[in-house]
Amino acid sequence: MSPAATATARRPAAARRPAPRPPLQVLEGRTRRHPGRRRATRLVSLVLVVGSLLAVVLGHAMLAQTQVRLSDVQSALAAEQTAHRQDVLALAQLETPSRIAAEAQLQLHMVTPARVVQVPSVSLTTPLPVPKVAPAPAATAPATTTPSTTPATVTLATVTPTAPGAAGTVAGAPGPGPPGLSVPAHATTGAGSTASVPGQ
Amino acid sequence: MSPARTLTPPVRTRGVGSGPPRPRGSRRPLAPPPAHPPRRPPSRPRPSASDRGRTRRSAGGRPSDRTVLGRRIRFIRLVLVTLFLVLTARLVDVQVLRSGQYRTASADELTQPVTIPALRGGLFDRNGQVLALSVPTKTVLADDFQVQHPVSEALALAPMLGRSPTRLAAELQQHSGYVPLAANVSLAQASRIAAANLQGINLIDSSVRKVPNGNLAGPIIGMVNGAGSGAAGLEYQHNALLAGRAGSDALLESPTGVPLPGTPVQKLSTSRPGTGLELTLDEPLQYETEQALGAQIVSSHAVSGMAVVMDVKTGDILSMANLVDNNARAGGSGAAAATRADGTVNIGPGGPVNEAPSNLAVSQLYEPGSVFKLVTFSAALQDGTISPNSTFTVPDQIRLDGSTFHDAEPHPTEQLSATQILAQSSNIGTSEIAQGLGEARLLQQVHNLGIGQLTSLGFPGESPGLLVGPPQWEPTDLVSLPIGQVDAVNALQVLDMYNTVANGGVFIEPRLVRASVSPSGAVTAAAPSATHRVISPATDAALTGMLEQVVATGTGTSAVVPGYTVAGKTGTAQIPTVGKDSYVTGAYMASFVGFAPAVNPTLAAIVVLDRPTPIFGGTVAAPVFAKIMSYALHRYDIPTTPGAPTQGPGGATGASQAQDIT
Repeated sequence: MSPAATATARRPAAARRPAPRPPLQVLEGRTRRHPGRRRATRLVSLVLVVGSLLAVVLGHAMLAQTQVRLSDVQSALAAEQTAHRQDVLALAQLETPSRIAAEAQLQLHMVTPARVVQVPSVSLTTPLPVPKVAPAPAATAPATTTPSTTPATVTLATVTPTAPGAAGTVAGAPGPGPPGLSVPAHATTGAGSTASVPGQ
Repeated sequence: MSPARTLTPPVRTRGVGSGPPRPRGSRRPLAPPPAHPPRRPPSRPRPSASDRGRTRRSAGGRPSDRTVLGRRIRFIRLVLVTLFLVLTARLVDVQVLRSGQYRTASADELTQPVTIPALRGGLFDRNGQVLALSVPTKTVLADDFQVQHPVSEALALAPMLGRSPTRLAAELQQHSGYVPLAANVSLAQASRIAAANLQGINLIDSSVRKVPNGNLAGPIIGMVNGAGSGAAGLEYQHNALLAGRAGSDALLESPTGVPLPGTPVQKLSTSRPGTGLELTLDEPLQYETEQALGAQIVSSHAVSGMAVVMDVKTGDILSMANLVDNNARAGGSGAAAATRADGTVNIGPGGPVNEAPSNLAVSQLYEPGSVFKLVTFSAALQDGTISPNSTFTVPDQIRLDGSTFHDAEPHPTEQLSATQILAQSSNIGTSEIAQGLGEARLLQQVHNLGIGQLTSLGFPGESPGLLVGPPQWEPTDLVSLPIGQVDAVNALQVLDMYNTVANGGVFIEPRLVRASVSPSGAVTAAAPSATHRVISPATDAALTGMLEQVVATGTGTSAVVPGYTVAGKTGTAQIPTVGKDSYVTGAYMASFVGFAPAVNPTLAAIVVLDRPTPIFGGTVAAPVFAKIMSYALHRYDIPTTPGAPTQGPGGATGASQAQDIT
């Protein structure tokens, strides 16, 4: 016999008597949900589920629409980039030295000089003498009293060279340049193909 | 614990630890009487699950129908649960554990990868002018299995592609599945074709390489092959940088190859455009250089020519012309017109001269001739064995080890200073100076000035040259080497040598690429060229003065640039016979190399003509140098030199000026 059984056997009769069961009670209806409230809960849940589904569908539609728009923009960008490249290429073709030389010689009748004569260098520290300008012949009185806004005309022929060394010589031309035309120091003369370009 | 189990008397079991075994046949000992008899009999034990069915048996021992049905239901339930568990496990296996594998297998089955070529980087000159540029295009392909009406589609396509509808219709009925109809179609044209929505006509991305300047600087720029990879020149050398990285798209199509309608194009990897290069070349100067060189090739009937202009301080190559005579290549027919209507030289396949097939300035080796005398004079001045005014007794010829060496023109024995020896390019005088240096010092100076070594350009096909060394040294080499024989060099090495003198005695590596241009347009400057000093400043100043005299009074008077002082040297070198120890009769390499202004030099240049008539470098190469240098000096706004001659040589001819032949 196990010790537990022995203990049970030795328990007094009062202790061995089972405790009286509590009387059964009928629960009140207060704990039960109202049928109308249950329907409302179900309805709200349904609305929430359907609404969520609709939101997901709507989001997907917007995403797809944005992707389509993005694709369109990318295509447009690629087309614009290609057009830009074409324009760059066309500009480069227009700027090719061979085309410019041909245009200069055929359209503008420019010629390559047979001989280039360099103008002597003049020190820039010593200022060049100011050319003497002969006064223009006296103009006749204006017909009206309104003052003219046109400035007095100074012809190149009136400019007198004062520095013989500064007189320029046009390349290819047999003699000196136009009388009185002062050519800046260190400027190239005549060489149509030697356009001055800013330094590197 | 249930009361029934509590009240059940413990059952004694026999087993391990329950006492010694009882002998068979012995009486079981009586259990001791309970101390307290149970109040009520123990309840009937609750039947176990296995006993329940037994209890529902009918009286005759046969199970009832309800029992059988219950068993079957339990069995079916068990089977269904098992099946469900298996399916769930399989679902987890497919959807979770091996989802990637199945997704890949599905994609492999349906997707067709299409390579999207990357747009190749452009090549630009130092001012950003386009030298080579790739433009996106489309290639028109037909899957003629899908073309239902080939004739009508051919009629629709013909005006858009500019092709004959008859030929198009025939091509659309080949039944090959892949018919290229047109390559490199412009995007505007392609959009019109796409708008026509023709069945079986597909457009694939492609690109075409455009060179707006035609073949200007062709040997430098190089070319790309049909696959779009660099095949020559800088296009080949920098192909990895220029090519970029191709991308790929995936198209969904059935296993039979039919595209699935309405399926989007999936981008597998984005193509990365190539990086462009900004070269050191100056496009207008390159044009002028080629024009001047081409005109001289035509007038002197030279076989080919090279001309290079270099920035003295940076080593940047501003222009590099390599031209060949078309008439010489065609057997001297002379059919090509010399100049265009506008007076310019027609450089191209149809003109008298054309771009060389390779960069001759770095790949063609030749005996340099008198321009090599710089090695001798620089070493002698550096060592102090001579000064510019040292005087030598110079006959017009000497005999050494059975060989006779002579000057270009016969003359009586003269007293010449070192400066006069260089100015008149006396071979005998130079050899006398070399005697004081010796073999080892000469070879050392050759090496110091960069001869026999590859430049830092790394240009495809570049040759380091052919040098004589101590093992091959012969007694006559002490005369031959100082005057530019024996060794073979390329034109750029000679220019580097003179550029060192122009740069105050500091050697600077040449370069052709000055920056890289990212696809977004950002320009990253390349590292400056490496430098090292070769000649002391005092020696350099003396050498410059002597080289000035070459142009002022010597063999290079045709190189005078009005307004500027020029220093340089002429060269007229014999051409060795291939495979023989002799020279080709009447064949010479005429050259002039120099720099300007002589004081504070800015530009250095070399001009080399192969087999010209007349033969002298001072006559045919020096005028080209003057023309190119005049343009370049004005283009870069280089100030004129006070006291410099204001006019050119004024018609100096080969008969009136001293000449040199080595």
